[in-house]
Amino acid sequence: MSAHPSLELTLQPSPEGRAPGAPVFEVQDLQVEFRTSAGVAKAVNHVSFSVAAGECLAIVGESGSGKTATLLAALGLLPTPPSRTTGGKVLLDGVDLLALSRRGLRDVLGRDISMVFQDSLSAFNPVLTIGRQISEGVRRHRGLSKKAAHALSIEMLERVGVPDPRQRVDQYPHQLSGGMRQRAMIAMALAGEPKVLIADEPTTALDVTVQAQILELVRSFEDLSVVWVSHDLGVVAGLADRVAVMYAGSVIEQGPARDIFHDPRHPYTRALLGSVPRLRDPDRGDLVSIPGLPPSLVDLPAGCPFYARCDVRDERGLARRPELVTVAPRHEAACFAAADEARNHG
Amino acid sequence: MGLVRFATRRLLLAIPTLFGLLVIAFVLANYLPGDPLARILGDVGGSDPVARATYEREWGLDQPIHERFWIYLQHLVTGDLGQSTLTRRGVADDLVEFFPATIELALAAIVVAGTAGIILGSVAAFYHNKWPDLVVRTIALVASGVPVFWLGIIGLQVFYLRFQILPGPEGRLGRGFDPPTHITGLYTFDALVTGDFATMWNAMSHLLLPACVLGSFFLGLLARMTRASMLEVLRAPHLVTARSKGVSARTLLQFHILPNALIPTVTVLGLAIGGLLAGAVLTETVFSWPGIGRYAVDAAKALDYQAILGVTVLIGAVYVVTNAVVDIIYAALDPRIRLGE
Repeated sequence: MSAHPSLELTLQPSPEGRAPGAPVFEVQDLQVEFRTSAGVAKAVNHVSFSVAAGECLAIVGESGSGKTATLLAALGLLPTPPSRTTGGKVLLDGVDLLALSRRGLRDVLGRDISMVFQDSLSAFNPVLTIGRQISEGVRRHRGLSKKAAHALSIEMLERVGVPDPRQRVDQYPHQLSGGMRQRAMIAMALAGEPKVLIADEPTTALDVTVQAQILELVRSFEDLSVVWVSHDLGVVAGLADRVAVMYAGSVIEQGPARDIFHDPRHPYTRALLGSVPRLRDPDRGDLVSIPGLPPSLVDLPAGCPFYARCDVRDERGLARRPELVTVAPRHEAACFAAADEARNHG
Repeated sequence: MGLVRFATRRLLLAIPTLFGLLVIAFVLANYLPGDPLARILGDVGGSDPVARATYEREWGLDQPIHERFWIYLQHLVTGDLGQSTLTRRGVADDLVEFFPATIELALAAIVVAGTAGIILGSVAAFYHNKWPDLVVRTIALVASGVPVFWLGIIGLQVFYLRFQILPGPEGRLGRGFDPPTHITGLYTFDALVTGDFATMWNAMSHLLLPACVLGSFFLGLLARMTRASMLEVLRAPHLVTARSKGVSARTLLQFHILPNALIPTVTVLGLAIGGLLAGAVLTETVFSWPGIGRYAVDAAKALDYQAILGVTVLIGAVYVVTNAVVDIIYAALDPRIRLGE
């Protein structure tokens, strides 16, 4: 279990000062399936989101909700088989990554878009030095010499605040502490000066103090568009401009971070935030856990995927799957009840 | 620098192991059943107490065991392993004559088992659960499951008797060929260096079948090991990281997949050298290969205990040294071993 900073303390979304420009990175209607022994698991179902320049989008949801699968599939990093991307587009500056050749994709990865992973120990190759791995991608992209690459690695380590970069650069992953290694991984991801950084729960394995330092570090790169995947709402609140909530392989709500945290519309988001007023059980205080389990991805219900656990459900959710509809400015939710409410009040 | 320190330490650690090996081998040889004196002196002399006492005094056999061990050690450091009662020569001279044949056979077997095992294992991993994987797994199972002597006989039946494309069990060279000038004692190598290609070719054709037979067990083992570790590395998270940086397919294979996947394979390969020397006993018998395995069998049958001891010490020493070398290679490949976890 990761340390979970108190929500009250950190529920202060960053100000919405940044104008939402044209999207730099855009996922449209992405669908991913996994072939498993139990059948075909629909891990990602018609997922769409976008990030503008300098914007940070957080994707939240519990494990198995399809967050990581979405991003890995978007960058062509999921092993095929067992996975298969059955539809959708992934646009980086208007170029569809899914339509690129292997070689074309390699030219983009690590240069225009790069990724930071959760477990820094297993994400580094144990037999190569940190320095080699930091500049490895850039060496190919820019045709750097060994010497220039080494210098770049030192510079990157310095930029992410690793002490003694000259010494650290020639060390192996297991010789660095967890926090240090995570910084080194961010250095590795940013070495190619990408426009977009995908971060897959990069702070989950770290303790709270180091977590805060890493968040601070990512925030310090102002022009960078960030997609930050997390199940930790405390971390997200301090970082994200916008939030997308995923459930059973679908985005069920997305909007400005402030709205999501202070005015969530989807019952799942409300439950996730622990602030849902319980209609049938008013005496019960803050909800800690959501009763029931997410549906099996192999056997998704025809209707709303949250139906079985929902406290505002009606027969519409049993028959049909709710679409994402605008419930407030730039704020969408995939819920019949939320849509009703928005219509009645708006 | 970490590697030099590690290697020095590892080689120093091999010394007490070697000493322990000597002690155990000596004590075991000492308690071999049977009456070596009867063998040496013949039926008449063996039952004559005077002849026995004279011989015992001459060879120090009347001394207590630790005294005899001390005498043996003193001779050992000068390269004297005692006399063989079978060949009536120095055991050390015998070993120098017979060992190169075994080394040549074992090295050839390692080359066969290593290359084929690693290639087959990699192919199986890349085509995981497809037909090439199934074929490789079957080959591996058969190769490491079939006994060496049976495989040798079947090999001879097929390639020598039936198709007549390989020579029969006539040793290292065919009739009409003389051993090349002695440089290393490995005929193929010596013939190559002296430019005697006809002899080299003949030596290689004699080497091929015994090497395949001897290497078959480790071929199967290596194929399975390589397949398993390759599969593990192909699923490793750090491979996704490497791909996310857009490195070329060659870099991916050369620096990310192979170095990690071959670490366990190297260990097995090192242990194989020891195992091959032991396995050579059977292979050499089947193919009339004049190596140390046959020498050991003959010595054991004749209760030639100085020779048995000499072979045991030699093979044991090779085992200990290759183990140390494998550990050093392991450390060179894996910084976690070299620099401490």
